[in-house]
Amino acid sequence: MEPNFLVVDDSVTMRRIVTNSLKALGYTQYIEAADGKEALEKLNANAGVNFVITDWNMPVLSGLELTKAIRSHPEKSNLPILMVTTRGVKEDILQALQARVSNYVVKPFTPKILKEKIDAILATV
Amino acid sequence: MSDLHSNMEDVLKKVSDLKVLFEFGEKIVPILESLTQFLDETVPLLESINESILESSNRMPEASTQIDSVTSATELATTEILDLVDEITDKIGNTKNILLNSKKKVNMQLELMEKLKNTVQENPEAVKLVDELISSFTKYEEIETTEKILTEVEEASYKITLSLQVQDITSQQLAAVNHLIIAVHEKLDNLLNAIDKSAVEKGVSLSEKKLQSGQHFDADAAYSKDKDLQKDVDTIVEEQQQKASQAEIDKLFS
Repeated sequence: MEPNFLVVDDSVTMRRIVTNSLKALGYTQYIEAADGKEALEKLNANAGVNFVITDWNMPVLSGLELTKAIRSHPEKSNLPILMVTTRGVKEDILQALQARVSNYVVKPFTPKILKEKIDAILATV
Repeated sequence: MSDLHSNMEDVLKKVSDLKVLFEFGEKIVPILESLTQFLDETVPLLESINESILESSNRMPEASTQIDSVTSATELATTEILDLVDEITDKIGNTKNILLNSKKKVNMQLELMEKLKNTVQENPEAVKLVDELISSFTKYEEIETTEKILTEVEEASYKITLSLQVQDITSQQLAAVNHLIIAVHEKLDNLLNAIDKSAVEKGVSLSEKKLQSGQHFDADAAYSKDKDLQKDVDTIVEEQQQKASQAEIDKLFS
């Protein structure tokens, strides 16, 4: 499966860094959203998106709320979701896993970590 | 006669009470005087505290705006750096392509030189000249070394990009400070309103930035390169995923 990413982060800097990392890893297909609400709109408008990389702390709709919304979506509930966030305490990680994120990366991340997680998720799809 | 006596006794009693009252009055007057003096001294102090709170409260929106400006400025600067890094990366990519073509050309030229050498091999003078020509040519290895240096520059540029994650992390820390300032400002406004309602009537600006119910920042965000952080996360994720898998297996057998 050729991943077609939706990169969700309210920080322009972080979106640039994630998409630059994806490019460096050889992935060319991605779109971006600035918050969870925009992400849901883009998911509904772009049937090709098959992988979500999302931040947690965002205005309007957080990454956790986005995850829950995707998991209860009639057609998108099985989408791989990689949470990339500054939140590294156990309670947060457990909360994210409870919401059924596919994997979890703490910022600042390295491309190696990002690749490892993407590969691990793709291996299970 | 007995009525008169009784009235006299009452009057004497009242006079006696009055005397006690006067004696008490004599004792309390200095206390009242010092209380009045205390209040006289305290009121300006309270007014000064009130003014100080008012002044601090009025400065808070400015501090909050300054923090927002810092966040915007760093985001703008970061975007500019990212643009420049992208430009450098693009130029490195173009230079690498040029070097690749140069390598092909050098190979071709060397092949032609070898052919020429073979053609003129009966003429030692010509062979010597061709050999000199070959040795004066750009070496293939030199191009490869340049390519290697360019790759190192490319990797360094990419590392700059990754380090810029600090902007997102610090902006979350600043957002947390901003949240705190707005919260304190709201409390001070409430306190000022309670102390002196006229503060509002005087046109003192109340918090324009009201606290939002949903926080979109991580107050504990930290820029740490500690690799153990991700390892700890991975351990928790793996544990939970194993538990989930076991639960699924158990479900199949139940």
